Amino acid sequence: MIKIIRTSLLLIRIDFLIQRKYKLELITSILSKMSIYIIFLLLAIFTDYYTGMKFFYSKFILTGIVVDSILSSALYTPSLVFIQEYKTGRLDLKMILPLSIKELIYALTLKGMLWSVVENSIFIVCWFYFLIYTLEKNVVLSLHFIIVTILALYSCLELGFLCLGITLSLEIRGFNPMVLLIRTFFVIVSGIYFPLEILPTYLRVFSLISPYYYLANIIRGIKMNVSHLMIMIITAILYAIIGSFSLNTGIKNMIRKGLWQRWL
Amino acid sequence: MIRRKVIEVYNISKKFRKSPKLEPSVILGRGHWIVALINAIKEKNYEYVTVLNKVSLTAHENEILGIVGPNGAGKTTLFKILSGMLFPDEGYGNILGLDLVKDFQEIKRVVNIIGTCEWLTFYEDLSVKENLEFIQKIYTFSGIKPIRDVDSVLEILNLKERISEKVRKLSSGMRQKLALAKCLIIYTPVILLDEPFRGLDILSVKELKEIIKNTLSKEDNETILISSHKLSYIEDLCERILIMNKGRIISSISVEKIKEFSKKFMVVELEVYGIYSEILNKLKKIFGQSIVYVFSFKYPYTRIVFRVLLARKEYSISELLDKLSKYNIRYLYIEVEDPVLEDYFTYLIKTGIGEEEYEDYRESFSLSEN
Amino acid sequence: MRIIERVLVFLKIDFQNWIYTLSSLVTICIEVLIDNIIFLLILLSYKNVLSMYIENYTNYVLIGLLVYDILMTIEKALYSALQRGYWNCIFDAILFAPNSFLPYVISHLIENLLLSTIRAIILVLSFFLLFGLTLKFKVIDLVLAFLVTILSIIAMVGLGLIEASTFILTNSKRGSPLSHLLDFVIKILSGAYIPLQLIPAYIRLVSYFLPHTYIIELYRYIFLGTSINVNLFLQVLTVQSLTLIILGYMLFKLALRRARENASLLLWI
Repeated sequence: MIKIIRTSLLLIRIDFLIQRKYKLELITSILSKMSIYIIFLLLAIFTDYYTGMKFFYSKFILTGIVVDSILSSALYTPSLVFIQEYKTGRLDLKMILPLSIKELIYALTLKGMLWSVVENSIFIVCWFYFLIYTLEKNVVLSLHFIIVTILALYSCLELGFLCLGITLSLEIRGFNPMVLLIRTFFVIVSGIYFPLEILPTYLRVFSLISPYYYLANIIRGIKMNVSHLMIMIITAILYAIIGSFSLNTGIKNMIRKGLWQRWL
Repeated sequence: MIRRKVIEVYNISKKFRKSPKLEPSVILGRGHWIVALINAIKEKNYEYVTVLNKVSLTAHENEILGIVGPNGAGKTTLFKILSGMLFPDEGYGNILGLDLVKDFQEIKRVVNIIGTCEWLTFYEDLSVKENLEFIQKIYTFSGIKPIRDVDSVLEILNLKERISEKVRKLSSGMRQKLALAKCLIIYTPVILLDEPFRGLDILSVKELKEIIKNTLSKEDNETILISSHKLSYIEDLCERILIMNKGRIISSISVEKIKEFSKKFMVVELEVYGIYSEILNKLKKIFGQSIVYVFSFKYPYTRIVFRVLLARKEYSISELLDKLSKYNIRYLYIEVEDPVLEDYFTYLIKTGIGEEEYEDYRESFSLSEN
Repeated sequence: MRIIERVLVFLKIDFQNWIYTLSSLVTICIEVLIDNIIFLLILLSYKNVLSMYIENYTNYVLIGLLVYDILMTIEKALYSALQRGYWNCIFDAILFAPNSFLPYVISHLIENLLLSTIRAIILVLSFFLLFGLTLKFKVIDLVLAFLVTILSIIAMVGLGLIEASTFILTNSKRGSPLSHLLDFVIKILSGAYIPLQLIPAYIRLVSYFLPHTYIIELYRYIFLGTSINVNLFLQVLTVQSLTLIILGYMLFKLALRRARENASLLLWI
């Protein structure tokens, strides 16, 4: 574990050394990625303004944006960082260093997540604000808040590993649409941007398997009952099992076929 | 002195799928996943190419073993398997007791591999020092302490004045030299060097050979496997040379014997006009007991390239030319050079040693007299 | 003639396997559709407010999204072609051949125009089938549509040339800050996602400097019959297109000269 953390911190340091010349590019790219969230927020603000609703829609959308940015980065990161390393040709060097492939993937994922914290820093700050707000209301609820956040992040990471495993096995040396499909499905069925009531009943059931749903609810101050917590824990375990299995299979295929080496 | 076996590999085979018509391209488009899916579904229908065919080898402690073969012989694939980057399809092997398949993660701690385009994996936007420090740190995290610091390594490689230079600004030869820095920074019992002399000038080749011989082998006591497509690069480094072609190890030669042979003999190569049998008889009369053989036919029975294995200092060039004109042999060119591997094999067969080996060699390199 | 031959060589390389092209196109269309689904579902929840300001707001927004997508594809084409060529060492080969750089540039522009056309057709069909997009237009409007298309291509190519020149002039090899900034501004203020009527007047000023605003509004006029001052919009668009193409050409020429001086298009050699 320590080795993974130290390796990811070293990789971040290397990124900083490379990016030192590209600060402006980094800042403007973060701005560009945030633009869609800003659009959602502006629409909500205008709707509040024109309907006279006191920040009702704005708060609703803001919680959705916070949940989406935090959990989607966990979902996308494993595949994104791996493919980035491959495309830049530096995966070869890292594969022959004395790290197991799994350790390497975990280190790259951790590095990616730490970068996501920088990119989504505004939304992380919002998350902290919501946590403090909940803490002031009810200590037990804030404990639930932290547990649900950790479980939701973990579930999304494991789903990210599931997609990465498929990427490795099928040798998809680029964009894997599975990540996009999972994220879109969860966003739609979780009611993070719009009320669940606009969806047909048969789709609303799927909200129970979506980590986005639980995190959005807890941020909005909706208490979680025991059954929901149990379902969340069970789905997290399930995602961990399939994610782990997929990743291990992907790594074995990678070494067996040897087709992820770009230059060596 | 009995040296223990460090690498033992038995009957390793590896097949790769032939490039399917739809090979996902990194460069073009975002539709890789569709192409990859189609390939995965159709995988059973694809043809496979045998890259390694029952390869066996052993390497002893502190030995420098050379592997020579043309491009596509399977040298790089063999090295990838030995470094734990690739699983063999058949066969088994171990390095210092670690199985190539079961212990493929641990093997990286005992094997260091330098690939042909290793420098492409460096961070081109970072300086030489920053790149080497990165490698040092990663090994330190895995409990492998560096045996030299960055400054001493660059001094050995004669790159000290480039320490702050970005890797991208180095010449290709310097980048190739820099790739070797990985072996000098940390100690691993086994080093695999895949064509380390590619792209280097004569002086740099000499420098690198000194480093391999003195620093890596003598000082650090490492077992080294070097691959090359040119025998002349490695014959004075290695104790033993394996010849590889089309995924098989054809032969194992002791370098001592090749050196003895090279000291004794020189080769005269000449391209002549005429009828084969007539010319052959004339050459045999000129060169007496020396071995005369046909190297190639350019136009059947009209232009033939002969090579003659002569004892050194037997003839001077002017004597040779006189004799050729005396026998009315019309030649296009005549060249005197050191013997190559082909000459060594011819010598073996003509003197009745290693006939089977020679047949294997000729067959695998598709050499024939027609 | 020689330039045309060379352009065709580059085009052939990129299109030689139609399955790659088709699979990329399909993937991009799926991405665009999926990205827009969430946005459109959000809009459903604001139905009451938006329908007060915009008649038939679904079509209004869909046209905006469609046009925005196509415009950005053309605009980003050249910069991404330079990025692709540089990081995959393609330029290390091309620039040593006895050709000018121009055929590579032109081939990528043509390739993107062709792909954008196909993409537009696929997106129109998908929006029609999935979201119930309905268009109403007169034959005479098609002439206007053709004119707007030509002007928008000129404007986007001009903007693309300006962004591509930053690749060399400001050494922005890992993403152009200008491109990202424009992305941010255009997405929010061009009227594609957020109807202009909802944007406060003092912020709306910025929109009037963007060619995208005029292009999207003109297409909405053609296909939905919204009320705008067509002549004024056309005039402004023409001026903007010509300015951008001239500026883009000059900057790109300067960038190529600078690249020849300091070999900034070569990665390793």
